[in-house]
Amino acid sequence: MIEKPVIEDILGVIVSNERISDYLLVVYGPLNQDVLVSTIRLAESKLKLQQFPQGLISKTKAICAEILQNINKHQFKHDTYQPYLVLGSKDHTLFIYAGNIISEKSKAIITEKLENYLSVKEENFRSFYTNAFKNAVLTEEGNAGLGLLEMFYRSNRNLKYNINKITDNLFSFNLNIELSQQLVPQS
Amino acid sequence: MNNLRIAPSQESPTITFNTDGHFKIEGISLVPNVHSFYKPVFDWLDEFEKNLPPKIVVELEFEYLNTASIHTVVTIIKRLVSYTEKNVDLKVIWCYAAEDDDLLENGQNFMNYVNFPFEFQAR
Repeated sequence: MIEKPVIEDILGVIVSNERISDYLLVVYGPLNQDVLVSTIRLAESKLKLQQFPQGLISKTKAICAEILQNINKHQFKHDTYQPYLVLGSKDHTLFIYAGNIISEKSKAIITEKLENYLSVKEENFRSFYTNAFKNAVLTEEGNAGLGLLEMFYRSNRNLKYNINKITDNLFSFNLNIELSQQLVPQS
Repeated sequence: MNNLRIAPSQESPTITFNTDGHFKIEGISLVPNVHSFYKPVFDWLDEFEKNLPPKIVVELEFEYLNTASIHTVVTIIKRLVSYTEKNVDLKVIWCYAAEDDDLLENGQNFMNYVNFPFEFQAR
C-alpha cells in the first residue's frame, strides 16, 4: 500500500520496483465511475501506443475494470492510505499492481474466495470458472461477486495478494497480477 | 410495438432490438447497476414474446464487459434461446476483432454459459 504524504514518496516506491522497467500508468487516490472509465481508456491507449497485442489489451482492460469497480464499490476513506493502480511492463510480462483499504468483513470474504480459487487444480479451472458464472446470482445492487474470479481466470492464475492490518477493523489489500502472454510488439 | 434503441455512453453499449427479430448489442458495458440499465430490454422482451417472429438473429460485438454485465447479457441470451422451444429459428453471432484472442475466448465462454451454439465472426 502506498502512503499519501508526498508524490515523491509514491514515485519512489514505484521506481524502486525491480519487476517493472516501463511504467505505463499510475492512478492514485479516490475513484468514481468517471475516473474508472477514463483510466481504462487511458490504459488501452497506452498499450496500443506501445503496440501490445490486441488480445493482451482486452485482457488487461477486463482485469483493470474489475479491480477499479471493486475499489469504487468498496473503498474506504482514509487519511493515510489511498487506493492505487499501477500498470507496467518488463521484458515480456505486463504487471498490474493495485490496492485499497478493506474492512474486516471484506477481508474474510476476499481471503475465502481467493484461497478457494487457489485450491482448484489448473486443469479444472476453466470449468470451475464457467460453472461459477452459470450459477451466479446477482445481488439487488447488481453485483455478481465474480470480479476476483475474473481477474484470476484472465491472468491465467498469475495473481498474488497480501492483506496487512492497519487498525483492528481496517486492512490494506494489495494485488499483484502478471500477464505473461507474449508481449512482442505487432509489426 | 416499437423497436428498442438504447444509445451508447462511455460506460454502456448500443442496444438495438427490432421487432423483425434483428438484435444487436455492441460496445462496452461497465454500468454500475445492471438492473436499472438493462431493465428496458427485459420489459421490451416481455411484449416482444407475445408475438414472436419466425427468425431471430442477434449480434454481440463487445469491446469488454464487467462481470455483472456478462451475467445479465447471458440472462438475455438464455431468454432468446428459450424461444427456440416455440419454433423460433435463433442465430447468435459473436463478432470480434480477428487478432483479439481474448474476446474470442470470451465468446466461447458465453456460448458455454447459455448452452447454445454461436457463430463466430472475425472482423
